[in-house]
Amino acid sequence: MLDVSDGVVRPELLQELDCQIQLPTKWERVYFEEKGLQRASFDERRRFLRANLRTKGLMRLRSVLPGISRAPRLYVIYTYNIARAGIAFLHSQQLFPEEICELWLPKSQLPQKVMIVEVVQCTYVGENCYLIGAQLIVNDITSAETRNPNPSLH
Amino acid sequence: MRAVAASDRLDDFHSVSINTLLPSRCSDMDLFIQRSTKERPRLYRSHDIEFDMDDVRRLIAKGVRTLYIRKSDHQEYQDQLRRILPALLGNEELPLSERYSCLAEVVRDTLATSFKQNDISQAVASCTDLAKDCVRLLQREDYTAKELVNVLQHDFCTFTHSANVGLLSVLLSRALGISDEEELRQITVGGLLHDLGKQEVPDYILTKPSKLTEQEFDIVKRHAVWGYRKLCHRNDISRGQLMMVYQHHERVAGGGYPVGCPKGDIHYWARICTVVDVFEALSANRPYRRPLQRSQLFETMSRGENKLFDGEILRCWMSVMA
Repeated sequence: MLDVSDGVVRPELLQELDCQIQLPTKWERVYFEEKGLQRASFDERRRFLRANLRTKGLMRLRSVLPGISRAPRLYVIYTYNIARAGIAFLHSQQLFPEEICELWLPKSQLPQKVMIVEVVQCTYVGENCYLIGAQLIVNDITSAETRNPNPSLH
Repeated sequence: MRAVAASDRLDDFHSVSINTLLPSRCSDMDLFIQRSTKERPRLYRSHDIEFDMDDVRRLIAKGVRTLYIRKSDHQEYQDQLRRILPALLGNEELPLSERYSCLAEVVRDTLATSFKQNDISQAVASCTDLAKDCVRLLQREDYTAKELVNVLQHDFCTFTHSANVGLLSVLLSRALGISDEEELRQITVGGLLHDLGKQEVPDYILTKPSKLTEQEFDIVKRHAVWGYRKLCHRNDISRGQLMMVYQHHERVAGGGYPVGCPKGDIHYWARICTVVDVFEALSANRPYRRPLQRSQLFETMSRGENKLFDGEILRCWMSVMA
């Protein structure tokens, strides 16, 4: 059974869902090994440093843009990095700026259980692989609405 | 109405196509004519003297296609033109090319007004309204695409370019077999709004006569996202229209912007928009280059087949314009 308790992803839920992301060859072996702070580029304009965060998570899109309808389903995503104000993750499909996503990460990775983020940019990495940059809107949501990300269980 | 002042300069006037000067419209404004490019416009017809179709024919016979009105009269001219546009477009006595010309003039001016006012709701409403007239006129079978292209102005103004892309998108969509009127209207609106985000790009960059620096080009590249963000929360904009704004610089082989996604993830309407956008841009006089001749233009675009452009759409457009 797919379930999320207290807004925390149970490991078996991540195993149950199909992951459509196709990692590019250059990342296949090393993707989940990357740790620590990411190096800043010489013309870095970001306010906060980014740390590698390579793990599987769950994501659900909210239909907030009238022209872009989204089915309320769960997707497996791969997180990429995280900073104080945002997170980047890989997804198998293109997302559009200003779309809202709910993210659930395994309990061991972050103190937050649920994150609500707004897509800022999307970059094509390879077939079935888009890098999504998103800014954090809400951390640690514990309301009844967001505690359980599986719509079929509401 | 003030008398002609000796200090009137060309900057004080607005050129208007004589095709748009129907007798009923210009009763309140003085009309001026420019005998040579070195001279300032001189009074041709005072506002209290009737201007009729015979005058139009005489001017055309002399090769005069443009008269001038004072800039202070321009708003009134446009208001009147918009009011009579449906009747004018339906006037079978007027040659089709003249009706295209009127339509293009109104579309261009409407976009200029809306873009300058930065009023998105007004821009969307005006474009939606005009799209009906555009589709109605462009659905006719008794014209060629080349006829329309020949009456379009080509300059470096964003709103002229946007007006042209809106009109040309209808032609290409029809040639591709899209016949549903509502769909064609939506595509027209998407084409008219595709460069909405350029409102946010500083003028000094848009009009720069030399090559853009990397930083300047980075700013220009943001216009697709800026335009998208202005429209994405609206209920009256469909996904296809939104994608025309967001994806018209994507390339079918990947590597475009803002995402770099391949053909399968680029909306069909955005792929249509890309072809007419580049065609119009290369046809236009830009601050940094002259317009390309048609043969050079097609040669240039052909090199982008299946790289920048959807091959099927590009070939269709080239056959329409051949």
